[in-house]
Amino acid sequence: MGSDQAATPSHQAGLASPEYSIPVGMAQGQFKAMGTTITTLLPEARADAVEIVRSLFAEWERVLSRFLPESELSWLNAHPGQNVITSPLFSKVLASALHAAQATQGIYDPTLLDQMVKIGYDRSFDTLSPALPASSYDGQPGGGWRGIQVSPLLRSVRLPEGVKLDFGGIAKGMAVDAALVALQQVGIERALVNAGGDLAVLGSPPMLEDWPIAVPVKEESRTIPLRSGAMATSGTARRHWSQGGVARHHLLDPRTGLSAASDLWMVTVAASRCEQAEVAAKVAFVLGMERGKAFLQQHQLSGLLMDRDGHWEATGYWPVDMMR
Amino acid sequence: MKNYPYDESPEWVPREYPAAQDRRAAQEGIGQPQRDAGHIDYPGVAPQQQPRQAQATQQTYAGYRSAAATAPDYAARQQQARPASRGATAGSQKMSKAKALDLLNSLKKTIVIGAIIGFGALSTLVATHAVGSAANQSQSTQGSNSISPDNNNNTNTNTNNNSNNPSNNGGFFQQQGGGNGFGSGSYSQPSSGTGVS
Repeated sequence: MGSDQAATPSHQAGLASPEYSIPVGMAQGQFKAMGTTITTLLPEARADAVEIVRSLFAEWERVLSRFLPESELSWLNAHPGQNVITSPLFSKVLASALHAAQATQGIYDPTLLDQMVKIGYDRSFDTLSPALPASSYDGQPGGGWRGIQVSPLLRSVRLPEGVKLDFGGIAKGMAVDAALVALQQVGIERALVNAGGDLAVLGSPPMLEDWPIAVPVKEESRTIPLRSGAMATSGTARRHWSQGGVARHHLLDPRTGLSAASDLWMVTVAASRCEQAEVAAKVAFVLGMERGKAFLQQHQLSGLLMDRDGHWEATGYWPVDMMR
Repeated sequence: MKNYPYDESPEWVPREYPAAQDRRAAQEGIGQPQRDAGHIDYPGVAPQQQPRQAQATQQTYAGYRSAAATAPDYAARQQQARPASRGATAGSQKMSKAKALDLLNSLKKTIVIGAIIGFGALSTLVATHAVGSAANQSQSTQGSNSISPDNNNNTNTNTNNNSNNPSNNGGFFQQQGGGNGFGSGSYSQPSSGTGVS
């Protein structure tokens, strides 16, 4: 779940990609993983550390991808009703996903894979046709995560019959966080890792106090100075298609099992960790402008919510003066 | 010394007498020169009195046994009873040992099995504790709010009502490190971008 800045099919268009300026003394690395483009900004002297990030993302994708039939996620989904011993990585991501589901009272739902497939998103988005044939699917509420049985001690998981996991964005956000930790462990003090729009920073670039981050504002973008933490954006600008003439996008509402009928176009959230920002942005989007804004305020999160007309509202410490 | 008129035991009076005699002798100074010859008496200490008291006690006990000896029925009964009781005791001890060994073995087995079962039960409880708590949390969440997919109409209202306290979310959105994460710099060109995902 992320934008692909390297190759953009026609139905993924809708966002203007700004010109990026690499800070002095930093080197950019880029590779594909988890269905999106991963970009790193690392000190020039440690540019080879991009391999650390690459191998980390490769490992996370190998375990967590729903598009890889041999992944641990696919194995678990293929064995509902059975206790499956999972890897520490899988167990960790599942625990975070369930925690997020509880924290958002089910608006973030990691068990909407069947619904996602039924609305046509059954393959990597790069290969997805923009116009799919009609389907008789008319919605199936989620909430299957409530029946998942987890034993952290044994790392065993049992999915109820008919429930399939799809971590989506939270896995990507967690991978970004984990990549920064890995870089920090090898002595790197300043870095940026961006997984298709879900990004987090470590330290600050040389001769700068902040990381200038472009935030989409319809056809344009604004540059927001991010000093620490993470930022993530959820919206329908890129990942949308039609199914039998019905507009679909990948942000599902678990109450209906269909693409969320939100009045929002996109939500950007800043948080201390990328997984938090990713989940909060998605939930705020599903809830819509008013409820989404209230949600961010209640959780003391800074965010930017923009509707289809380009009207926006901000919460928390969002630097609104930079938006004008 | 007869304290009671029925006390006719012959040893009782004479055996007790020497002690009384000694006390009288001590009061009257009889035998004092012999003690002065070989002892230095510390004030408040009378070292020779304790053995005499012990002797007197022993004599009294001997007197009791002698008195018992004068009751042949009782002694005979005891003599007759002893072998029988010894034989019974020996027999029961032999049986008890065998039974005790069996009991010990069964006890050992019970303890081992009990320990294993207890450990297993404890481990199961520990292992399933998170399962239970996760399910409970889910159910309580489901019951206390209406964002449940089964209850679509009230979802948004209850999102507001139930999320008033950020700590209600179990800490998932808890921000670390303080600060708001934003700087104050103004930049014309970005270094990276948060695209729509």
